[in-house]
Amino acid sequence: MDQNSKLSATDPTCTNRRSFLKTGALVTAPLAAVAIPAAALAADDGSRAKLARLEDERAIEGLRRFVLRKINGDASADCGEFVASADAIELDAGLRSIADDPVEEPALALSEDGARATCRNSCRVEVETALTGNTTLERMARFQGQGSHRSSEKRLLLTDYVKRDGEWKLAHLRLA
Amino acid sequence: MAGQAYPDVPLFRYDYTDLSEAQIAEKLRSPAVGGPGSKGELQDLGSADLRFTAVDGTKLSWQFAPGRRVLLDGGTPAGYGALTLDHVTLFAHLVPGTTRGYAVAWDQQTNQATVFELWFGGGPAPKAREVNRHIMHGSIAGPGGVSGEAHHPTLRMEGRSFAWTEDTGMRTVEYYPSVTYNHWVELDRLKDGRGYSAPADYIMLTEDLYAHTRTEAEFSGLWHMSIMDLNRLEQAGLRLGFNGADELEYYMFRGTGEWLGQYARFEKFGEFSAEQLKVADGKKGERRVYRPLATMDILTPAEVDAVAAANTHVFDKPSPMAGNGTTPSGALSGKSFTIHYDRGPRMEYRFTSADSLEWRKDGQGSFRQARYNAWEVMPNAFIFGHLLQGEKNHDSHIAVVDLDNGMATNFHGFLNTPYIANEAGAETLFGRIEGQGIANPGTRRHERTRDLLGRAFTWEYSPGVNSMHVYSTPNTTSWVIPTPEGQFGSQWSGTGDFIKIRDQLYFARWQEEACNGTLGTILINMRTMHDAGIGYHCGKDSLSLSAVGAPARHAGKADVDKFFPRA
Repeated sequence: MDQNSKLSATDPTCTNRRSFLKTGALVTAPLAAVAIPAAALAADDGSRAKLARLEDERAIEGLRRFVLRKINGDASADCGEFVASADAIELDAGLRSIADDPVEEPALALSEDGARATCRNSCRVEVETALTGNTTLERMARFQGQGSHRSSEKRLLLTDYVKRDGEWKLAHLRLA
Repeated sequence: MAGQAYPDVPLFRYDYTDLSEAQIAEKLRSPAVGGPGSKGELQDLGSADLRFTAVDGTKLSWQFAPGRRVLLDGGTPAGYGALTLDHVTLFAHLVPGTTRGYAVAWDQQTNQATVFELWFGGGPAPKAREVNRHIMHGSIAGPGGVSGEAHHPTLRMEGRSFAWTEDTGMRTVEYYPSVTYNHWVELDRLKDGRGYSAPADYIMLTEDLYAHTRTEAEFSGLWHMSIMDLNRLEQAGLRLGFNGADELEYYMFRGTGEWLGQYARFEKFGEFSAEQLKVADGKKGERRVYRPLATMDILTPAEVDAVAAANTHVFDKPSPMAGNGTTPSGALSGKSFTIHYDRGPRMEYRFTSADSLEWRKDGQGSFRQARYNAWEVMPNAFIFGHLLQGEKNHDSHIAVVDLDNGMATNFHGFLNTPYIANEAGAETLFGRIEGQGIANPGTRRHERTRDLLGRAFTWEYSPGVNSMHVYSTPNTTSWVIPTPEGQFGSQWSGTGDFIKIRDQLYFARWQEEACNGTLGTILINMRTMHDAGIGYHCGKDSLSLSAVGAPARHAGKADVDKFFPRA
């Protein structure tokens, strides 16, 4: 099995579970950051900038959770609405789900210019491995009805974001 | 043609007659009327009238009459046998004029009952001689009413092992390492003390009393069952089927047992379900019965030669049997030594890199290059393996060399056995190593060991590729496959050999005879609880040497040494 396939949102040959991550017409972005006039920012005492930052953080966190929901569930989802490029999502073909660590908060870092952001957070991933080989144990496992194996492991979810036309997009998602 | 009732060859080598249903019906005609035999006295149930209702609504009735006669649903009188173990009565009979029969475990305290409907022919077993069974749990109407918990499949026997001695004198060591399979060792009927695996049922009757069955599928097809009191270590049972000489064995027995041990169970805490491996839309009596020969590639010698010429792979791709294996060692690189095998070849080696060596056998000709892998499993103790290209049987040498004491052991693998050309044969060669800085062991050699006898280890090779080994006899390795829920399921067995290399370091092998054909070898380090090994396999796609390696759990040890006296 290809353990390191790079998911492409536009690859029509992609047959793994995340083939739903196809690009398409952009939909109304629920995650758009609120545009704040530069003059207003310059004029105030910094609270507007803080507010903008908070709103960016909230939008990015919303986007991050939205992406995970799409990866984990909706097979008909269109990833074109939230990715910045067709190869933004890089996941193993056998990956089946990603669940945030319930205790650890994601660590988000915004760039100085407010146009880029990175996020790291602990997560637990579920991986499915197909048992396709011809060793006796694999044959016996298939005989028992176990054609694949699911396991979960703790990983680090690394995501990058970019703001385009006032909307945050997922630039890159990978597991470490 | 009449053969041997209990063959002097391994059961997987014996050619059992494919008896027809008509032949079987003829052989059952008289015993159906006479009832089962018994060494001891069988019980007379008088004029009892038992009416059974299964949980699925199936109704059956037995009207007993003096002289051990019984009528099933008012039909033709048959002979029956009965034995009672404490408060549970086991009775059994055939149905005259058919190839059917019944065994019933009836708890007279609660009126809970389990009915085993038995038949020859008509499937789902692929051969008529293999006994089919359909199990119904339910109750028997009686004056005391029905009380207590219904009989049900159980995992409570998983991991136990017992030695049973029947009143016939026959002794059997039984391992119950799975909820669906049994591993049994006939100590008297068969001569080579080898263990075999069979589909089984484990049914809880009460906290103390259990019913167990095994069907010797792929072999004679005999059905052997008993109810057993695990506190008193007593059993009462039934044996039904045809032995290797096609003689009907139809008798009831009493037996006494000895508790030998308990392997760990690996279900989650609180998990007590014991569902059999299900078959979707299965026929009556159908269950998953592992029939390895049906899925094995079977090649001719010419096909083996062609596969070896076209597709030989030696440690050149990832092995699912070593996803959790250790990294091969390069520590042999640059070394040269000669292994002198007793009653075997003299192998000269030059290790030219971490994965390439040169070998010469018995000083003949020039050195040949071969790809190898080696693992240093304890300091200065290595397992390494390579193919002997050019040898007519496509031989492999998988050797353990202890460079501290100059001793070596080789599980020499070869193809073109007399049975199946691509099934790996194996022999064990002991020898000494001669080389610079290597101590001369003189006449000392590694030796066969009983240290692993009765032990079980789990092996986690790769995600989803797991097993438990049961080293059930001095010459048997059995392997059991877990379900994702941690129950053990299907099981099979083959020839094993077990060599002590150092304290807590053992070289073991198994041969997948009439079952995929692989020779598996592992060097087990019980200090690190990890192994490293090599698999040697020829199928229709390739001849290969590949890595084996997994962390281990020690599941336990059955105390069986005394049943296998040293020669």
